[in-house]
Amino acid sequence: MLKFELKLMLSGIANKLAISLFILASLASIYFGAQGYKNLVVDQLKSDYVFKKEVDYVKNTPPFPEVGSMAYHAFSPTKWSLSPWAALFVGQSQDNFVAMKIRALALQGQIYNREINNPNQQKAGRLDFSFVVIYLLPILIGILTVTLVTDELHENRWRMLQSLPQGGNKLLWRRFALRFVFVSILLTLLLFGAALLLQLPFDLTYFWVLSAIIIYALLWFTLAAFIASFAKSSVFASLSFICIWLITSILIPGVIQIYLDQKYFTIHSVQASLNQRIEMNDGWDKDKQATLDSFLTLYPEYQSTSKLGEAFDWKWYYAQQHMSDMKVDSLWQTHVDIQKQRSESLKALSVFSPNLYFQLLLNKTANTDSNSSLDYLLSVKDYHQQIRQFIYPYLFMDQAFTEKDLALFPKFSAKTKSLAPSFIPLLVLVFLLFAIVISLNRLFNRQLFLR
Amino acid sequence: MKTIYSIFSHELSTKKRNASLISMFAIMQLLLVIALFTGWHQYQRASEFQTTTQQLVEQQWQQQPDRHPHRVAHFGHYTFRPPSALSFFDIGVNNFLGNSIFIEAHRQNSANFANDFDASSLLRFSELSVANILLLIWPLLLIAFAFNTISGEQQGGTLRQLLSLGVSYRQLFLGKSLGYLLLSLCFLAPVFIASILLVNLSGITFDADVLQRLSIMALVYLFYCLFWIIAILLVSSVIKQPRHVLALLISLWFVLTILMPRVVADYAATSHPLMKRNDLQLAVKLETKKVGDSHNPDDPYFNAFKAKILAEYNVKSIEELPINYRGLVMKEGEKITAEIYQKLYQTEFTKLTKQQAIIDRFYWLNPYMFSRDISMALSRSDAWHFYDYEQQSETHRYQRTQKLNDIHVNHIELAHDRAQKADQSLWKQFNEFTYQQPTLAWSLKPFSFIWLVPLVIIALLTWVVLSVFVRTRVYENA
Repeated sequence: MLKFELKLMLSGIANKLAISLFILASLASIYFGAQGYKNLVVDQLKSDYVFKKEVDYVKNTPPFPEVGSMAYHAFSPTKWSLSPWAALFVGQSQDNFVAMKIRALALQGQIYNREINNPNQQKAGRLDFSFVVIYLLPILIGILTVTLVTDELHENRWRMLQSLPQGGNKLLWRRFALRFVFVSILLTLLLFGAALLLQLPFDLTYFWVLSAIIIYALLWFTLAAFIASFAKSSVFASLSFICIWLITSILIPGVIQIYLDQKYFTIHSVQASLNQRIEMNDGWDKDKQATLDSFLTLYPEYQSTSKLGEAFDWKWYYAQQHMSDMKVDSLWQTHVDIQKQRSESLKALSVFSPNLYFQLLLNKTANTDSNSSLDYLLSVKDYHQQIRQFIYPYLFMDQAFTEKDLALFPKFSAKTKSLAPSFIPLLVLVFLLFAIVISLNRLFNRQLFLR
Repeated sequence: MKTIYSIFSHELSTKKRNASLISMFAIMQLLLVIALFTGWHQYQRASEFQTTTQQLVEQQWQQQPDRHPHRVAHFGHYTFRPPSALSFFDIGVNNFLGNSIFIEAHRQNSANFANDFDASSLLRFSELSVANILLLIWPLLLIAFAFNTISGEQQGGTLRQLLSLGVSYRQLFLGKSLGYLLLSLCFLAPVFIASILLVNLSGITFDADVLQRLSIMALVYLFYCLFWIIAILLVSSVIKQPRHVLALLISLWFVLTILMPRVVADYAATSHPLMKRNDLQLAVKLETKKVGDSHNPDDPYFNAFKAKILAEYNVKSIEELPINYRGLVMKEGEKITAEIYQKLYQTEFTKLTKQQAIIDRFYWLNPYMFSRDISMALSRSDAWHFYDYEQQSETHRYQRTQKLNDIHVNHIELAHDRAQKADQSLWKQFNEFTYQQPTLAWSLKPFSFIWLVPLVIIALLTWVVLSVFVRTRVYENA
């Protein structure tokens, strides 16, 4: 019997086409994702390598520089610690810097730099695995299920099917269950293949992703079953399904984007950048000792440093660079806060669209969501501070800077956030869905007998 | 003619009676209004901010005190890209790109401050702009309106009656397609009229250019609608069951507007991958080093340069020169880096052109992609217009820097070079940066031949619809 049901499912040209298109799109998305991710990793490795080469060059090319000059030329690499899942859930990772280089000069002059990206690709929206799962999968589910009842009605087979001992409601449940199992196996296989290809570890995250995807599929199956049981005609069923898809995939995110853009419009970063430039450049025309003194109130441990002479002094140079950053620190902080609030708002609003909600979850798992990109920028800021504080003793206390000290130059260490995703929202959703499914069963009974 | 007209009016009146279709139409109109006004608001906000900030930085430049010109070169300047007048209609790729570049000596910086903080989750289908609603959502609504127009008559048996009354399939097709064209016109007209009014009332440059662009846009969108109407009628004629017609049309919509554009874009980008910024910067650095190192006293390039200058002024040492040699070296160095950057930029640009060539090929298959791109070009919000801004900014950067280097050469003496300052009155002699919006001809240059595409597609489709095959099929099915 199962064999025949399976044959039935795979017999329709629409079903066959949809399934093969889905598989093709998945494979393409995994390929594109893997390529993109590889480029990111290469960028990060290359940046490390280039920096090592530069350090070697400094070591082997006398004269050995003084610390100020060394720090001026040391563009040190940082690294956005993406999870390998970034290949499947691309998020912001392809469009932002993943290996920003930073030096001890004012942060404001460096932190806004952008990666070269292809706006056409961004506009088109990319085909990554998360797109396939979150936006294509519902369509596949719709094609497979939403007209299950009405098609039988149109063919005048429904009454006959209902009269069979194995028919009616049971038959319907079996058909839905079969399709659900089929889709789940398909997803498992795809994810398994992707994991093998990308060498993703089969750890807790893997099982979380797998269960999240399957639960997401269950959600759309439930919706499809709901529509299928109510619809009077296949046309109505298909139209309502695509309408709901359109609303949750395109309209709700679109409206949220409009809302967030209005509410969290910020010019603080531009202002910070403009003001910092004025402050820094005016510094050259101001009393240099005064700038240094105000710097020393922030770093009293270097209070005992000698007074500035007539000649150019790196001491003053780095002091005024930092003071120009400090001048706009509150603006920058506001900018960061606004971005964080925007992220929080988005998270809260995403409950209105399951697509958006799961998209955010998956991006978060891969560490590619906008919050992670912000965290990365903040960790670059921390690293910038480490570099500054590393050179200060040499600058201000006249400590000799030697080859041995160069080896102590701080390296960027990415804060490894615990990525273990929470199963709780998934469990809640499962319970919710089961409740719906059970009540649906009753509705099914009533609805279907009426026909 | 009369028959066509009665089919046309009958088609419209039946649709008028369908409450759910009418309410969907109304909701979409409402959405268009929202999109138009938020787009307009965003445009005005950006435009105002960009212009005032450009003025501010020009002021900041002019108000500089006496400074060494090389300090001024690193004080730098900002160029802003004001949004184009029609970006409220079609925002194109603007959200993904920065709109200001910090320009300084021997560094080509990125355009910063883009609006794509959470684009990866919110803009997967791009913004709810007017253009996007017309391109993406209206076809779906058209499908909902029209999928059963012929297949429904077949099923209901009315087609047979119509044909028996002597109405030809050609008349039926013409009448119905005119009906849906009028419907599309009703959908498009309000937003276009509102756009003209908005532009007109706001007092921004309402010149012939904007009007021309809007009219071509209206034509493009009308063609786009026509494509869908004919496609829907074709499928509806060939396939018997309305539900199968619907399934097929929705699949077609999905493939053309959702799946194909992103697969093609990703494929194009993967086949000709762009350099990462780190690589570009490294390449500029390495290439510059290859040409010559002005700090190295034994560098052959700069020694030859020195010899040339000395010979030109007929002196023996740089100290004897009437001008500042160090300034000349700066100038030469700037020339070298700028040339190298341009060379690398050109290779990247070639890649982008190749990527575009891949996308272009799909215009023949996919009117959505064609209309999307030509609409962006018309509203000056596609990637090419951005690259044009980038180039204008770079040209401006080069001229500004070289002018500063000229001041270095002529107003600063070689001895105690760094201790000197140039007079502040000099800063007032610099031209402001004003972005020159490209002309209509420039915007449409990439489409010089391709504008034939919609004509060909529509002609082809019409030919198919009216072909003997479809006609016999309709008569047989009836």
